[in-house]
Order: sequence, then C-alpha cells, then structure tokens
Amino acid sequence: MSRVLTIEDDEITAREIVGELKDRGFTVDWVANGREGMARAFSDDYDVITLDRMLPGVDGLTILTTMRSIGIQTPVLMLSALGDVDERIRGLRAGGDDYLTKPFDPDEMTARIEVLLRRRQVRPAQSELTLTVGPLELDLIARTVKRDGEEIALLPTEYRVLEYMMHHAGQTITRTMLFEAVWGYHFDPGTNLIDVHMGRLRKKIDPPGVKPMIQTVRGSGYLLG
Amino acid sequence: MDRTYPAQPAPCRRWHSTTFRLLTVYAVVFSLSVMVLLGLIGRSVTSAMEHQMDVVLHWELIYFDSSPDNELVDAIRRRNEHEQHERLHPNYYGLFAADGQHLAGDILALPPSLPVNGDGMTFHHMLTLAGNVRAPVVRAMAERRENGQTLVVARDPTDILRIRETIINAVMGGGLFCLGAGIIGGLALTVSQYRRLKAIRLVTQRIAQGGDLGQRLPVGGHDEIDMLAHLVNHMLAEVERLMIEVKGACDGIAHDLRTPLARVRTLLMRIEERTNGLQDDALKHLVDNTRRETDTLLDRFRAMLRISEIGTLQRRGGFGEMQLDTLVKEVGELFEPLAESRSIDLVVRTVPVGTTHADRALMFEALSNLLDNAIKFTSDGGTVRLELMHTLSGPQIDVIDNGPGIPADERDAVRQRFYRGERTRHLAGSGLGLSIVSAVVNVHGFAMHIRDASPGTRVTIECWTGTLI
Repeated sequence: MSRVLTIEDDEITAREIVGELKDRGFTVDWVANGREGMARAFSDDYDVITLDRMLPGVDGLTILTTMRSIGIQTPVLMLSALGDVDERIRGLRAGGDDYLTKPFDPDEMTARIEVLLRRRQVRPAQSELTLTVGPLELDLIARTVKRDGEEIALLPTEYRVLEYMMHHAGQTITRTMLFEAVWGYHFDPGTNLIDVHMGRLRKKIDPPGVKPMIQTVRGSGYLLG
Repeated sequence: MDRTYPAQPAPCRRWHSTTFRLLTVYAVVFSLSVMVLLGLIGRSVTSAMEHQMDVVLHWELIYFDSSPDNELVDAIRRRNEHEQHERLHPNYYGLFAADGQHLAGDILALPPSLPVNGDGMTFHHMLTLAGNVRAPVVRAMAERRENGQTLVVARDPTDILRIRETIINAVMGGGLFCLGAGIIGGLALTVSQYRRLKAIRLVTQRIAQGGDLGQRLPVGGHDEIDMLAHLVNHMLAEVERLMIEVKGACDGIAHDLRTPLARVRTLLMRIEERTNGLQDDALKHLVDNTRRETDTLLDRFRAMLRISEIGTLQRRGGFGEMQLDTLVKEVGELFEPLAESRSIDLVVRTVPVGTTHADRALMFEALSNLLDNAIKFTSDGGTVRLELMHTLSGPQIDVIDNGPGIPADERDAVRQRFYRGERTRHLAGSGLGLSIVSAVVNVHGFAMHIRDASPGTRVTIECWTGTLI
C-alpha cells in the first residue's frame, strides 16, 4: 500500500486530500506546518508527498529544495493557489515533480499522484526502444505503432498522445495532464477538444470488433490498458 | 480594443501646436510693430530735419534781405565762393528775374512748384544746378523781392538724411535681432513643450491601450501642464486604488467560490457513482444536470480568474521573440479534429512573417479561444479560416467563420465579460472567451477588430504595437 505525506496548512483542503486518497486505498499522513512536514519528509518513509506552496513555519519551496539537496528523491506534487506560470516553473525547478493549482479536482490530483507513484516504481531504462501494452507496440525510434503486429498509420499528434498514454498505461490520465504533456500548455482548452483528439486516436487503435484499449474514466479522463 | 486613436502624424504636425501658433502671431505682431516704429521714427526725424533746415533757409533769406538789390548778385556770388572755399554744408542760391530768367547763383532754373512765400519744400532730382546737374535731394525756399526778382535758397540735407538712415538701420537691425531671438526662443519652447506633450502622450497611450493604471504622467515643469499632470496623476492613483479594490473583491469572490464548487462537484461525482447501482433514471438525470451546471460555474470562475491573471502577466518573463507562423499552424492542428468532427472545413493559411515579440503561451491561448468560438458558432458543414498575413505595419491574424455573425451593435459588447450574443445564446460557453482574447491582446499592446465577414464574423488581431498620435 502506498504511503502519502500531505503537508497542508488548510484543514478543509487537507481533509479533502486525505479523504480522497484514503478512498483510493492510500495510507495518508497529514501535517499542518512546514517544520514538522520537513522532518517527516526527511524520514524518506513515503512514496509520494503532496506539498502546499505556502506554509507556516517553513515555506514549501524551502522544504523541497532542502529535500533534494540532501538526496531525498520522493516524488512531490506541489499544490498551490499561485497559478501563474512563473510560480509553476519555480516549483518544478526547485525539484517538484508536478504542480497543481488550487482549487483542484480531486480526481485530477489522484491521477497525478498515481502517475508519480508509477514513475517511482517503474523506472524505464533509458535504452528502451519500444513500448508494449497488451497488443499495442510502439517503436520509439521508427515512430511506428502496431496492434497485433499490424501497423497503424498515426498523425504526429496522435502518435504523441498514444506515446504518453503508453508510458502511463493502466493509469487515469486527465484531459489537463494530456494537454500539458502533449501540447505543452497550461490552460483549460475548453469544450471537448481533447475528447475529439482521443476519439480520432480511438478509431485507429480500437477498430470495431476488437477489445478497446482506451477506456474513458467518467468525469476524469482516460485510461489505456 | 479597436484602435480609434487619431491618425499617425506627419512630421509637420508639431508645427500645428499652440506654442507654434502663438509664436507665429508673435512674429507677425512684432514685425508690424517694428515697421510702425520705423515709420514713426522716419517721420519724426524728417519733420525735425525739415523744420531745422527751414529755420536755416529762412535766416539765409533774412541775410540776403539786408543786401540792396544792386549788390545782391555779388552777395550771392560771394556766398557761393565762400561755400566752395570752406567746403561747408552745401547750400545753393539762385536769383531769377520777374520773368524767370536766371540772374545769379548756382541754381539755374526756378522750380515751378516752389511756392514763393518763404515756405520750405523738398525736391528730389528736380533742382537744376550749375553744370546742369540735378541735386538728389534738396530743401528749398523762395521769396519775392520788392523789385520783382525771386531769390531761391536751397540746402543739401544729405548728412541729416544719413543720420536718419543710420537711426532707421539701427532700429531695423535691432528689431530683426529681437525677432530672430524671439523666433529661436519660441521654437526652443515649442520643441521643449512638444517633448513634454509627447512623453505625456506615450504614457496616456500605455494607459489607454494596455489599461496599465500604474503609469503616471511625467511631472517637473512647474507650469500649467505640470499642474494638470499632477491632477491627472492623482486621479489615476485614485482610479487604480478603486480598480484594485474592485478587482480584489471580484477575484476573492471567484476564488472563494471555486473551492466549495469544486467540492460540490466531487460530491456530485460520488452521488453519481452511487446512483449507477440504482434503477432511478430521473435521479441520474437530475444529478447529471446538476453536475453540468456546476461544471459551467467552475468554467466561468476559472475563466474570470484567468482574465485577471493575464492582466498581471505583462511584467513576467514569458515574452520573447517567436514565430507566429509556427504557432498558427500548431493551433490549426490542435483544432482540426474538432472541426472535422462537425464536418467544418478548417482552412489554415500562413506566410513567413519573421519573428514577433510576444508571449507564446498567451498567444496560443488567445488563438485557441478564437478558433473554439469560430467552430462553435459555425453550422455543421461550414468553413472556418485561420490566416496569418504580412501587412506593411506587421503580421496580422484573421479568424473568419461563416456562422450567424455578430450584429454591428453587439461587436463592442461581445468583448465584455459574460456577454452572450442573441443569436448564439443557446450554445454552451462561459461568455468569457473573447474577454480572454481581449486580455491577451491588451497585455501585448496589439489590437483586435471584429468585423462582418458576410456571412459570419472576421476577428482580426494586429500583431504590432499601436501608437497614439
């Protein structure tokens, strides 16, 4: 069972995070101030940490920078009311693995935590040349995709979406995560833009009559596998 | 943010300034005054000179009156000789018989217009002297003696005229110098005022175009303009303070409501999960509708906060040199599947336009909103065009659809937050898309125009920084 440390001074938000993560089967420890949070984080007993940016005592960025400087590599999801791109960059540069602006959708948070956990558990070899998920095979060098050995012609964007999904197979990927990872922008693209892209990819990956690989997670996003 | 500013100035515009007009009036009045002054001096000097000469001529006549008639010819000759010997001020004399015949003296002919009553008269090139020359200017006086002879005495006023000329030249030279100094001083004043006004105009432009209320007019002239600048600055500070208060209140409301709304949404998701096990379609429908409404509210709050956030991004480091053509193609690729899903023909046309100083992420967001709107408001099977072209002023991006269009009287209103056009009220959306575009365009100092595309709408973004006058 994965252990999560939540360092959050706002009690309501903290209760929400703890409740959501416990519902998903995580073990969660909550601390409300930076000093205690830093001490717990240094114990290196956790699989992932959710870290508030603004904390009483010691600031979230200081905790993060100190952790990294002494070699603690526990994945950190920064949670902050500061949504500016500059703040996001500052958080990620300090050693954060992901950044989520408050208020957030709990599903979005869970999906991001799961991605971080997976990244920690399965560190893909740098020399990995192909990704395989069930009948799907993606060649990272030739940039080709096959299902059951049969090549599927994908447009560059579709290829990038599928590559990201295959890297995170079995995990819920939200629309925002996909938009950030594939297009590199941090705003709400609105309407059903991402759904349409996914629909197009689906038509190619999951032709009629075969078991669909891409699942829709209602209200959250997608899951491959 | 249509640029409805005055047209760009021709360089000569500065000559239309109030200072320059005053300077011109000053030059004309000064020149006229100098001319009147010169006239008065000339007139006064001439009059004094004539009076002085008339006195001398009168005394000359009195002198000859003392000579008997038979000695007068000799007296005139002696005077002539004396004059030549002493080289004194040249005087001329002439004695004429009653029938006008010349009897003595170096004046050879009796000037016909000269009154013979002891009044002086000035002649220009009319008095014939010995050697048959005509004196340039002379003052003459004549009297009739008792024997019927006419005695004429004349005096050359050249020396006095020279003095008059010197005085006039001095006054004219002084006047010209004063005029020149006045004009140069005035021009310097015009340029200085023009620079101050230009500085004020640039600041006003930043406030008008970018909505940057943190700008202040330059002060420090200790004059009327300075007084006005101080007043305007005071006013701006007050407006800025009020805006910050209002914005803070709005942002606070939006932010504070977003958190409970996000929680409501989560709760609804949980309820929805539980209803999946029930056979109650009406309940499912209710929960689904409630969730959708909550999503709409969240979208609006998110967009409101985003607009507010964009307004503060001007000073951050996101700006840089970027390729607009690459960006336009990228946005086109992002929206192509959405257009295709509605059988809308999305035509993307670009030309190389070089680099543009802009925030890539913000421009991408603005174009995404425009394309999203265009596709949303175009009927299935319609056409949406995204075009990047190069104009003389700079790159221009057009998003053109053939949807229902925006009536002329609604084109300004659609930029306002939450405005929904009458023809598109039934479609989903926060009504904040164009406000976000406006905010992005403002931050860049670019301009946006909404026009009729007959049928449909053409939204143009001029990707260059506009300037006032």
